[in-house]
Amino acid sequence: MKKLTEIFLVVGILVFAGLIYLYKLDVIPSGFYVDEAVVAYNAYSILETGKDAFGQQYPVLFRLLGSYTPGLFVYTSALAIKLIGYQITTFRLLSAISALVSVVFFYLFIKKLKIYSSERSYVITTLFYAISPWLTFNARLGYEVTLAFTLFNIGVYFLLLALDKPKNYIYSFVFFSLATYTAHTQRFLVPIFCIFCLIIFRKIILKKSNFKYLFLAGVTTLLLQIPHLTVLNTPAFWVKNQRLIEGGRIIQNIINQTLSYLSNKNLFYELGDIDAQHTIPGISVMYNWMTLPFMVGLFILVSRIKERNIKFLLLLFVTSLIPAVLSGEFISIQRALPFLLPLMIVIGLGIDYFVKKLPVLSTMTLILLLPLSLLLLYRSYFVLFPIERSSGWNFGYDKLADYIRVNADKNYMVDNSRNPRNYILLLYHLKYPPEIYQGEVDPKYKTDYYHSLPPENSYKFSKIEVREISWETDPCKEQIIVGDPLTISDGQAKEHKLEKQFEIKDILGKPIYIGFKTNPQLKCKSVE
Amino acid sequence: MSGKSEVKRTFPLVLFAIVFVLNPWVIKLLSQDVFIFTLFLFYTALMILSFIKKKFTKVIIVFWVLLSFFQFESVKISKVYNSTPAEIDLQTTRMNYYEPKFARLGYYLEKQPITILFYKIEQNFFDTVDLNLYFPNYLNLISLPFLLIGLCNLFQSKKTYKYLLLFSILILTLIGVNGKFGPFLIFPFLGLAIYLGVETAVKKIWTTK
Repeated sequence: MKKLTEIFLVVGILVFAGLIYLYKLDVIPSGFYVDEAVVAYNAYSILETGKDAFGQQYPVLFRLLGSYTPGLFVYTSALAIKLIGYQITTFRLLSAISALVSVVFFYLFIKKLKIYSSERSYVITTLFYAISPWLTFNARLGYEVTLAFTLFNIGVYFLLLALDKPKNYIYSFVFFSLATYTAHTQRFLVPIFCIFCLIIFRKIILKKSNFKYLFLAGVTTLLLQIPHLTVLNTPAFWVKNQRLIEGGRIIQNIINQTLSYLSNKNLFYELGDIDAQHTIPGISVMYNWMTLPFMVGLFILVSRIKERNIKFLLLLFVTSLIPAVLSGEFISIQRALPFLLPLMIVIGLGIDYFVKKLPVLSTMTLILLLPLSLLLLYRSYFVLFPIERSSGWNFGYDKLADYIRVNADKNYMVDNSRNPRNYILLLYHLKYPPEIYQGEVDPKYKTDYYHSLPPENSYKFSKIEVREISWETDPCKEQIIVGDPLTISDGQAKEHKLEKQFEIKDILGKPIYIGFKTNPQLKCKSVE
Repeated sequence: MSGKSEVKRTFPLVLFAIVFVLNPWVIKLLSQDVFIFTLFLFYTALMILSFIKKKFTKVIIVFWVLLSFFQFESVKISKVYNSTPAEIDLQTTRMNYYEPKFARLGYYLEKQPITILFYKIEQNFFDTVDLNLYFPNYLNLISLPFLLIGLCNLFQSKKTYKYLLLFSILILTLIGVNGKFGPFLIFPFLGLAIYLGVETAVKKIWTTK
């Protein structure tokens, strides 16, 4: 394939993927997920005050929703707010750009691997990678996972280059380091992948002629890891490690988890992730037809195990799942995101097999599969997902914030029994001044910032309280109680003399949040 | 008779026994239906023997047809393809999610009988090839690595078995896996694959020693 044709095709894929990633980015996913809101609000807080929501100056790890998250995405978001503005699209745009960059590096990586026999296979695999449901989903969410995924992939690409040209070790470790500052998964994955890589390719890596570059890469990594080293001995740095060893039946859990992540049903039909926010109705992370090239690709992977680059791919295939497998009893497709890279390359091996064996038939089939895939993506992601997953994505909190903003003189009690982290949605949507919030935070969270304290369960800022309703005391205070129809039923409203003030509806017109004005005089009199 | 040839003779038998020990489904089947159990036992043994000796291929095919018939008999096809009231409700609800200009597309994707049929077949296929269906419910987790090695061996051989296995998957895709005894049509092949996997592993260890 001519260089110009190749560039033209890759640019074409990027434009096409870009359209998919950016279409209605502000409203699909419908709502703003708490993980997005907490990043966005802390980025805003950093930009405005140089401190996070708890008043910590430029933290290395951010205390987000009771856990500690590496901060690179938050700092990048702060810059993006400065450049683009404080809106939902800003944060999701960072992931869309990351996904597009990952498409470029995917192509470069598979070209360097040189494991396909047909030139067409490289372009076809890149195209289907770009429009895969997994990447599309991650390209349209506003938190750190996609950026971390891309940084790790770039590091992997440079590491493969380094096996032939050792100066690339330096670039590889720069990107690996950046990935560790972006998401938890990569903080575990980078050392795991590098150690296994060193063991398997020790004869190539530990050549005398490489020592100069390895030394430089080591020094660069050490310098880049200084911020991490400053928090190494705090509980915050190790916060998610306990998950790796919790539970009694470790071996059985590991086997079950591995089977689940590698199951065709999970990957190509119906995702078993129990978190509704992570799933798309009617489709899994990859298109159903990809199961066939995947199985063929796996077979090829095993049968060509002696080739160096196939070994490299197999190493990536195995290690990329380790953090996800070790991190809990249930599937979390978010933690398994690094697996997308080797998975798609293995599917590409299968596609390449068919392209080589049956060139005409496979080309025609793939031409038919492209619109079919797009149709499936349209149905699941752009039609079903915004409606059926709207509650998982916290649809309606912007409207609640609008009401509170207009009626700012009243007191509010927002119930959080079904969504314990919803306070951050109000802070984000209200654009609540961070310098004021920092003053209102419970002081115990400020003193030992990096000590893993249990998450808060009640919040108070301005005239808003966010906690579980107390039916004994709350109706006796002059305020507006906000909850969903399950929390405050008609019967309860009647019993506690509550007066409906407003109702927020979901996309289908079903009430999701209702605001009731209390009537202390009437209610508390009747109690007496 | 020398000790070495005795070992050689009993080796397949021992492996066969191991495969059955690794397969809790077989024991469960014995308590459910002795006839199907015997058929299954005989068929798996015959298949392994046929694979080793490169004989009896026609008998294998005849037995496969017989087993396919029993698999058909054990499933209520109408139950597989009829939608439940909840599914019908979901289809109608989803059809109404589409914008008016895409209403026809909404009907094609959510409600049209041929699409629903396709979704059912798709579900059956993924149920059939789902490793989580077999492990640990039907097969012991220890046998998993042997199964994977054995499947690779099976697909590398240019024999009837891999086509029969693919036809078995096709049949289960059409009729579903929720029959009275589960997807038993596929189990002789899994037994053969586990056998081949154990054999490969044992031979590898012996060669290394």
